Amino acid sequence: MATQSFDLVVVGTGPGGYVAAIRAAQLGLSVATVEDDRPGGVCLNWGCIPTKALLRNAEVLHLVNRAEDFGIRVSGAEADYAAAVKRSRTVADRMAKGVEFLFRKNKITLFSGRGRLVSPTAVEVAGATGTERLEARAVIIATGSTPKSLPGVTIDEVKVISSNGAVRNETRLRSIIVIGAGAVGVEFADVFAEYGAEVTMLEALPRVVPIEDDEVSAQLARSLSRRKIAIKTGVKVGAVKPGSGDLTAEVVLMAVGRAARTDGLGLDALGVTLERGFVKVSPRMETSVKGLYAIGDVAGPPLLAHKAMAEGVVAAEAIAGRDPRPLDYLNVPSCTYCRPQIASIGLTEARARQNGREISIGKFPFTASGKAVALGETDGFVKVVADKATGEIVGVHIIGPEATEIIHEFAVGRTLEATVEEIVHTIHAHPTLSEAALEATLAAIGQAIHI
Amino acid sequence: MKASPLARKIAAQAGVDLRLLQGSGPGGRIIRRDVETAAATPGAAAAAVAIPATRQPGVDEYEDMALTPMRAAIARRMPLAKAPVPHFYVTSEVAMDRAWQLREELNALEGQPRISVNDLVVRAVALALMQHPGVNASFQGDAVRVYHRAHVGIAVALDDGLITPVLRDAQAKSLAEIAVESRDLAERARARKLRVNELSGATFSISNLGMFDVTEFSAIINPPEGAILAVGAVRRVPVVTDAGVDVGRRLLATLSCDHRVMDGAMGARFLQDVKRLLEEPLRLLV
Ligand SMILES: Cc1cc2nc3c(=O)[nH]c(=O)nc-3n(C[C@H](O)[C@H](O)[C@H](O)COP(=O)(O)OP(=O)(O)OC[C@H]3O[C@@H](n4cnc5c(N)ncnc54)[C@H](O)[C@@H]3O)c2cc1C
Repeated sequence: MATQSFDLVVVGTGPGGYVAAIRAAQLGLSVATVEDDRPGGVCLNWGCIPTKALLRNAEVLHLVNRAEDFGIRVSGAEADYAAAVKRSRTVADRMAKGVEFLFRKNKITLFSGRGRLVSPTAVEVAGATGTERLEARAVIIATGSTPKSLPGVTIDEVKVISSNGAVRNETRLRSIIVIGAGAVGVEFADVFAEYGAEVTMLEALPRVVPIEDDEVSAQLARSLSRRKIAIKTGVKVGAVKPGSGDLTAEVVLMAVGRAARTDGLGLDALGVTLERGFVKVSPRMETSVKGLYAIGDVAGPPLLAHKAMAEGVVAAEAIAGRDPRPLDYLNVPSCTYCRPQIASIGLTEARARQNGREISIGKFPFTASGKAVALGETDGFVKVVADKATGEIVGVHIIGPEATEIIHEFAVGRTLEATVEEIVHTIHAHPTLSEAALEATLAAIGQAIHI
Repeated sequence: MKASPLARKIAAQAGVDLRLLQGSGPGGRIIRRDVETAAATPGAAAAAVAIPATRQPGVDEYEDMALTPMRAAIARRMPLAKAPVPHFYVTSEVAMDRAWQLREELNALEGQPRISVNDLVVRAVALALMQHPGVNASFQGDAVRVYHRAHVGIAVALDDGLITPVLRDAQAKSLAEIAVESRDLAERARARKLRVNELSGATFSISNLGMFDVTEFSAIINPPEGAILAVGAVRRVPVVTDAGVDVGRRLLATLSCDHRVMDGAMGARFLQDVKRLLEEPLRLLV
């Protein structure tokens, strides 16, 4: 078995792993990465990017379907779902190739195969052509996550599919039951419904997108119902089986969450501490074993690509002897790319009240935004939760057009510890959707102009 | 000095002097955490001052008591309150005979909360502050901030220090409401059950040492407040009347003022109004 030495070995090349590898290389470390699927991980290949491509298709189709509203008559329009999937594959391939290019540019060696830790500083890679041993000063685990199922329900990726099957499926579905109304479930429900499937969404908790603010959930439920997506909340799924039942559909999509991918990594033998199934890490992303780091989905929620990337930078800088600034997990935006989009940061109104804070709420509906009316996308609102005494931006909850872009004004604001005052003294271009951010903030101090 | 907007606001409300802080943000910027640490957990400062007690009984002539967190907080805050704030003092004697009588009558009413002398003083101060907004004010570096509401801090003595819970919107509260609320604050202060937001945001404070038979004293202003009233005991003293010498109840009150915010005459006029309200106590009821 050949042995090679590096400063750093990164297992997994999703957004956590590839960013950590690049940052470490920039800081002068020699870096190897190990990947048993395609570079780019879930995010670029099977998650964020291909789903965003499919959602764009759904949006274009939506515009074609309502072209009449704009006085444009379209006849003979045909939506080819297989072509949509093909397009999403092209997009994903291009982004994954981009990662390979960045690896080459930064002189990062990519090893194809399954990695296993044989010591905190050595990884064995079982590849197609044999096994290799990589030794390093430090190792980063960035192995991501895999879909979970419900007890007794097997995902066969034919009748009962996970996001892995959903993103690859090329046939236009007539009907689908989506179990779980979090981001992944809602996004696929959006795509399939737009392409004509009869969609039923089931959620065990009392509302859709349950981690979001109550009012956002209520608005999303209204918007999805209007699109004929059936929503059943507070329901417990008993069993999923072939044949008849309370609900039947061509396919069932399990979107009930994801579990850390630690199988076969050899973490037990090293005595790595887990917490609720995820690898426990310090603010510097170090595990309970010195020199061994973990980032991204495998290191715990929120399971988001941008959180994985930010943790990758922290880990790489810590390993390179820098003094990285730890993540502020309350300042990670959470985004769902359905129509209308959802984006939030900080505490929900309910959480802020539970914490006993005296808060004021400002809300601005997109129906009052000139830009939103011009676009013909007026569902939703911006809601600002501010601290009464200090004006701190405690939380922001947006549902509506381009919500996922608007949120960053507040992300920057919170990072700089700006208060509502700085937001309201910032001149927002007119007409833009971001004006709704300004107006909602003004509303939080009782000074909204346009409502 | 670099500080985030939020850090500045919290510092102004908690009375933390930003100039004395070391920023932990990028490039030494003072961020919220720095201010909150300074305001709430004096642990770091306490650790630096606390001296482990190495005592040999019968040998040493003294012993060093480790600072409690509260003692450490007071030790850290007071020089910041006293030295940078130019204090001046005005004292006035208040005839409390009628207020005393009114209080006895009120306390004889059934189903009414017990009113203390301090409750009368709080009410008088809150009403007077509305007439003298210049005293209900705070020095902000480049401006004097005048408050429209009277949030009155009431100093409560504890075995190992003191704490000043805030009675909010005192100007809008009746004597009975003030009595109930300040008793609740004082009880929870002694039980250490106050919430953080009940300890900040005062616009003016009152310190009353009457229960210790103190004749008069002067108090240190709690920045960023602009003034504090020190209240002594109500004493029975001989008073000269047209008919000769009589016995009257008198109280001495000393106002400490931040000279950056106000001048002597302004403080004196405010104190005059407090005196008048207490001497014509029916005004406290309307
Ligand atoms: C359908 C879907 C849509 C999503 N959309 C979004 C979105 O819009 N925005 C967002 O922020 N997040 C989204 N996510 C979540 C996002 O994909 C993850 O948070 C992100 O991919 C986590 O990155 P990671 O680097 O931790 O791991 P991953 O991206 O999961 O990458 C881990 C990689 O490690 C490899 N690996 C695992 N074990 C080994 C081993 N032993 N040896 C070698 N290689 C190994 C895996 O094959 C994989 O390629 C979505 C997820 C899904 C499923």
